[in-house]
Amino acid sequence: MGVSSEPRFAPASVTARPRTERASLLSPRIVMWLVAAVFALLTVPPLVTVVQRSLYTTDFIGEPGTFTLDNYKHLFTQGASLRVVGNSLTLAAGATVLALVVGGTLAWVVERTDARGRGVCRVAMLLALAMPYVLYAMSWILLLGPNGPVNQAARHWFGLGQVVKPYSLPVMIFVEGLVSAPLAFLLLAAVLRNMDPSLEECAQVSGAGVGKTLSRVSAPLVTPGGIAVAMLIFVRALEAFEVPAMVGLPGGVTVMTTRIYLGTQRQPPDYGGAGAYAVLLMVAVGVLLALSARITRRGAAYATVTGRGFRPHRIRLGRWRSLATALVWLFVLVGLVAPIGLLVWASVLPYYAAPGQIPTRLLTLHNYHAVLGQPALLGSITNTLLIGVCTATAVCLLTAGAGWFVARTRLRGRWVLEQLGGIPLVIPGIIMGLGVSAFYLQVPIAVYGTIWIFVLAFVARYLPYGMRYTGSGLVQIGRELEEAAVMSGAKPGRTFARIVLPLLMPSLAAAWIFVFLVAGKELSMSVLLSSPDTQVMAVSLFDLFNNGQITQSAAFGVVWTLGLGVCVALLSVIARRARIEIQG
Amino acid sequence: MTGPRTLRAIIGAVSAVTLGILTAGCGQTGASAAKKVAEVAQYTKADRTNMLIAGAKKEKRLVWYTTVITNQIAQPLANAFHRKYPFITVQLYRGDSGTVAQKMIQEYRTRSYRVDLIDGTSTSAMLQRTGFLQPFRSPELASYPAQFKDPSGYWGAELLYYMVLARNTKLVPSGQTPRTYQDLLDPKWKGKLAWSTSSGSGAPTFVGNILTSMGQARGTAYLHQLAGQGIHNVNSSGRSVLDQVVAGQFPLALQVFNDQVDFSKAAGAPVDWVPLQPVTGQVSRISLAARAPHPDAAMLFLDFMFSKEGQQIVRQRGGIPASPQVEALRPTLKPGPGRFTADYIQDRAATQLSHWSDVYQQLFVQGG
Repeated sequence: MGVSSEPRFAPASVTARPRTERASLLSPRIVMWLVAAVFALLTVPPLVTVVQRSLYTTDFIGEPGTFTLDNYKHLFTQGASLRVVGNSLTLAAGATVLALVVGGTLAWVVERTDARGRGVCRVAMLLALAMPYVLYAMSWILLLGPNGPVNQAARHWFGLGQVVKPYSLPVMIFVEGLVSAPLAFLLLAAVLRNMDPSLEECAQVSGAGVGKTLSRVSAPLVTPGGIAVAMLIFVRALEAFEVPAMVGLPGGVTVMTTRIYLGTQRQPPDYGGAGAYAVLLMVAVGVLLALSARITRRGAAYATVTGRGFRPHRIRLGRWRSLATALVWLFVLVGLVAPIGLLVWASVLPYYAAPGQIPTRLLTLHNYHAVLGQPALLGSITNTLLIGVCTATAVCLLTAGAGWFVARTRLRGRWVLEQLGGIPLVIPGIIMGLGVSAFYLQVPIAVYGTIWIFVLAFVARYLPYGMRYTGSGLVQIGRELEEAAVMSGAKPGRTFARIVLPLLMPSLAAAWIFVFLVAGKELSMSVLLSSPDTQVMAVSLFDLFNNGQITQSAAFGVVWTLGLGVCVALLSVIARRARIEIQG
Repeated sequence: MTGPRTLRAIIGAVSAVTLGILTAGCGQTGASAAKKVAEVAQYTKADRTNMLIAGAKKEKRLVWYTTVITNQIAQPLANAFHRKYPFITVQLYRGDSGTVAQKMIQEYRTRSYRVDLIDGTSTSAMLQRTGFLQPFRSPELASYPAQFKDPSGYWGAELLYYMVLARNTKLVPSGQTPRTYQDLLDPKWKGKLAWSTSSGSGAPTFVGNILTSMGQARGTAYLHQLAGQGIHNVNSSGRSVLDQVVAGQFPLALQVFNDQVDFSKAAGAPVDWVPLQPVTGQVSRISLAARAPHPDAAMLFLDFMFSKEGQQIVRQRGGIPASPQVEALRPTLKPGPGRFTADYIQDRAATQLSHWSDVYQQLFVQGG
């Protein structure tokens, strides 16, 4: 990494040419404050609205009524809320453990051993990461449902009743763990890759076996990084909405995010109760993120990256090699082939039934006709694409500017940008949806019920991602080029447009692709922002599935998966051309 | 690309868009629009129909947020209306009572007045207090019994529903079917029951029916026992719960519409219904929006809906007409001929639905 040293001084233009700049309406200072104002308008209102609503009663049309602390009193005195919080923690802890075990094992196999199928595993993980959670949850419900292949097999071969209860906490943990595994894999793989293998070599040379090397040398080395990854996955599982809503709610298992959702679905909506849960959840997320940041900082003491170059050395597994390879293929089967396969199967059925229960002559493409013939569903595809493009572009534009102000100038108050850009980290999607929808219902700006309210919420939510991409991108660009431009008489705006932006392009493109993909599959915000006239794909699928139109939702899911495949392929070609690396 | 100029252009564009957004929210027509709706809705003189037709010719459109199943009844009604008045196009949006009510409330809160007519079992109860409804008078309601029209004109009955138990006939043979509420507590039905979470017609109304018919104490005790049966909460309409019974995902479903069961049965689906006594009787009620953009067309539609002509279409499509002049296609769908008694919960629903929803959430949604 070409990391330049911390900036000691600002480009001359910003400090040394005050007279001409002051005359211009567009001095860097003013532009910076404009960007800060946009950041503030995006991130502050939803946060303030949620807190405000938690402190007020809600009248019968959903407007705030009178000040009250009852919402918090209920939260802390009702046995039900204890169960909700307990469910959230159990789900998050269980899913984190499963994700770390699955993702960690495979990361170790791929990065540190000589098992076969390592490339396959990497590709499978990337594909699984791109899969929308709604699709994933849906196919697992079908796999484990009362009529699904797992229970059918148990009934058929072992004469058992229903062995798996699909709408239950264990299944939620299982599915959430599986959807989090790819992220655990990618993050842990990075940790393992940065580890100095010479230490392991020493252990092996000194006569330690694979097991002992792992437990005495590798494990302690990856612990700090591992803990940070674990906390991140725990936080994401706490914030998760798709799996709890689709797997948990029908079985009556409520977690904090779905409790917030239920509050908004009541008539009149219970914004107060939902707001109290939201504040509690944000505090929890904030505390966890702060802790994990501290651990990561302290983890620097473990110095897994050293100045010495290291050659990739792989542990010879010997007789365990085929087991490791089998694990890779098991993941490909369970994590990818089974859910997608079942989706394809369900999409050609006249009515839903497990494989083997229906004569093949009844298979039909009718569901595809039905899905592609529905203007509302086609509309949701256009909306999703439009929202994705607008969101990604806005995030990139805003954070390119903001990142530059933070990293390259010494303007007073630039920390404001950093702080504002970080706020959304503690606002889980469902709360962002709650805050944005409640805010724009209260103020007379006509964005409610249009697709622009999605863009407002999404841009706010994804600002931190953009900041991370542009921040790390800028760090890698030497300052000399900008200084040269300034010396040659370019004004700051021109320097930014002609020098910084082109150099930053690879990072921006990566950010754009990432935000576009994430925005396209997101449900937790969309479910509260969509109105009957403005549907997006995730919400359409969620509704179709809830309506019991299983075969049609499967067809829609297959169409989506194909589209996503094309998108990912196209973007990765573009990315490779431009030499961009897309990181989680 | 010159930097400052580009930036200036960008900022100019952003400001323009912001201003555009800000001004789009204003400029809504004010009180005069509402006054016009009230005048049309309350007009009773002899030239009423001609006046409505003249007005509707200018309005051309009609927007109806409905809870009535689209392909079964709502669309056929809209089509018949369009045949009668070809100059009016009916635009439908279908959702559950809570959904359509919330849609209208949110639109009115953001001052976007699109809807003319809105219906549902509990929609008018939810909306009446908001001031978003306009009382109306339709001569066609004259023959309707008092329980099927609002004394102040906030709603009139479109059609009736009776909420029953549905069974998949392949999974649950007739002999084993539960016949009473007590039968539902049999351990063999654990995990086999499903219902809709819809507040206007699903689980909360079941709770209301039990609390009313059994009394507060006995009803609560019963519901506690029923909660142990692990009923599946389907976050959707009764119609889709029924579809899942047809598909075999659930053997039994509570609180589904008996006319919809018969509609599916007639199409060959393996499904039948059983009335658990007393059956929850529901009235689907249609109301006029206070700021209806097409009041004349809306009033014409209301007249049509309540008339013999409109009610005949409800009947033909297997719905249960509200008009006393039109009998149901299968009389057994109604109390009396159907050998069941019904308890109409509408009056209590207006005040107690929120309480029933709370009880439902506490008992049947873990950690509600």
